[in-house]
Amino acid sequence: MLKEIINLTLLQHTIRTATPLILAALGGLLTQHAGILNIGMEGMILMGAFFAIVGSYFFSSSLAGVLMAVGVGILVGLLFAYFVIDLKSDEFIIGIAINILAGGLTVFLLRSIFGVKGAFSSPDIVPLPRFRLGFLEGIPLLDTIFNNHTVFVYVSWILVALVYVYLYKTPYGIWLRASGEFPEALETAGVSPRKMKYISSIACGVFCGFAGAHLSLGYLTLFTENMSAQRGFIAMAAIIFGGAHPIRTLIAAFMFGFFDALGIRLQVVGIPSQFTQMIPYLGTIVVLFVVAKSYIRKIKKNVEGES
Amino acid sequence: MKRLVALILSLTLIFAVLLTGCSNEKTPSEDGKGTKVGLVLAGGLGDRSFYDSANEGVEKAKEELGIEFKVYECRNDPSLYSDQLVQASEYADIVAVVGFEFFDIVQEIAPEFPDVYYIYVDNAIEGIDNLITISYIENEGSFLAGALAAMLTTETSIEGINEEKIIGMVGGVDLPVIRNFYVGYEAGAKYIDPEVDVRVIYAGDFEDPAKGKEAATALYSGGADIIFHAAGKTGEGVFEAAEELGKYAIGVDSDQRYINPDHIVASMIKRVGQSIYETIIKIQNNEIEKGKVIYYGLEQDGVGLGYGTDDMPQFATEEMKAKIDEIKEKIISGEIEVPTAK
Repeated sequence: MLKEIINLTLLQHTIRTATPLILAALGGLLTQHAGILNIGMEGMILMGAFFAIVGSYFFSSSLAGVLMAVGVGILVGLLFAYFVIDLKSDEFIIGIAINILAGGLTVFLLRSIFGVKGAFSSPDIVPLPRFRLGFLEGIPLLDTIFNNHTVFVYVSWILVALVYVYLYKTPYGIWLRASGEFPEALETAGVSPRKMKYISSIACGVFCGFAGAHLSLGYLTLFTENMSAQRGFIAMAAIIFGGAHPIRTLIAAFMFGFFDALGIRLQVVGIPSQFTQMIPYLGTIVVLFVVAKSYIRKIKKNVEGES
Repeated sequence: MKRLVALILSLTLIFAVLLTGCSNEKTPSEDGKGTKVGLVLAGGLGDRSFYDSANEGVEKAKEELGIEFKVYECRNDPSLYSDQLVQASEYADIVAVVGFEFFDIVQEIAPEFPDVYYIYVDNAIEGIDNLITISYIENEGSFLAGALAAMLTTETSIEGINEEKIIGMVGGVDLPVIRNFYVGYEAGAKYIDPEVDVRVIYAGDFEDPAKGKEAATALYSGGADIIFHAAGKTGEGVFEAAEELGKYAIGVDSDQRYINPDHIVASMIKRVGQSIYETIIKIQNNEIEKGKVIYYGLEQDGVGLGYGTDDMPQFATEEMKAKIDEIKEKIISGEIEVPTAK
């Protein structure tokens, strides 16, 4: 019975479920560092998912799909930045507006471009290629867990490393963080905080475009209305959970993916769905409790050490 | 200048209010032509199953009975349920309400519009004069789906089918209606072979195909080779998983085989549209019993199995189809009793 729950497919499932979260969260944490709370990620993912399908369908190429998703991501990121940074609108309201816009626009375009309602799938949509790492093939365990995923799974891990290096090891990363924490200081140093905020917002659009393209062209090969299914908000939770640190956010995303996979598998052995659907949230509370507890202990230690 | 603009705006507003007041007059004609039908959906069109089937019913009524209709979609937004229903009631002579979600609201609003007939689909309410409810005996249809799945799960001659007697089901949310699908499905499978293991996963969402795909993948990798879904758009993910892993699925509500004829072996059809169409005729002919529930099961041809069209590859052999028909007869005659979860 335990074998039904804890097996290699559980880990595969974790990786697959975590990937869209990681991609979106990477974008969100950049704006988070720049001092913008971006709750529009949900809508950005949905638009990315839709335009990835449009690109792939009309140009018969998954690359065109990704480019299209990224292009739209940049546009939405610019729109968001213009309202939040230049017009000084409330970021919360603009975020919600983007989510609603995405929900309505994709439904409208789905009907006017493809003439269908609700769901669109077609053999003409070219999915993203799957990837095999040759050197893993000799090791059966790692081969099943890590091989044969779609390309964005690996891209997301590389991006985590890149974002980490960018944020903490380059001057640009320091500027970005300063634009959120202490924009006056950045201005004194001769760098425009506005520019850094714009960059973060556009980057967020690009990353969410990736997440959407992964959802509709990698994970699935179809588009359905609202297929982002709250992933933007879960990504937001992962950012807050990981303190906007790329690696800790990655771990948080994996954690959400793992609990999700676990929840589904527990149903197979007959545990009621009302209980298993609770697991991701219950698990989150427990982990949050442990993390907060150890954090407080650390602070206390530091205080005692100083006195 | 400002004052002038304000004046013009308020005048426009007053006229708009007056004009909308006029348009509300309803003139149902004698011969039934020009009867207005409002179709209120809890979800939205385009699910390629339940709601689309309801829409086909009113489309058919438009073509054959010459009615007019408008569709009111609530897109799963509970704050719209009552508004859309009132809108439809003001527009139409007959309002078809689709979705168990309206259970409370329709009972509240129906008495307020005594001149409007309400056809409420997917529930059973008695005692309100202008409210006719249509209830499907989906467990009977699911019984056939389960029987078919149990027959197919040992047909190792079909590529991708293993020897293990495991079949699966992906449900949207654990609701009485969905559970009713499940108990029928399980009983049907056990009727064919008591050793068949029937596993179910509820995705917790009717609109998340990614989650549907993961749920189906979990079932397939556990040894299941056929999965029945009752999960709306989440079910699209089940079909994707079936294609990717070379396994099989059974569709729901509409005949969904056309979506992927190589991997969808059959569909459990709920003839929502047909039942709405028939009820509209009954209302027009004044044949309706007030405040009653109309049950649509196998006997009334309200549920059943669909095998797609002839140009699709058929996985169910003639023998199996004959067996299914035999079971169907036995259910209708009462020889087989199908359990229910409602």
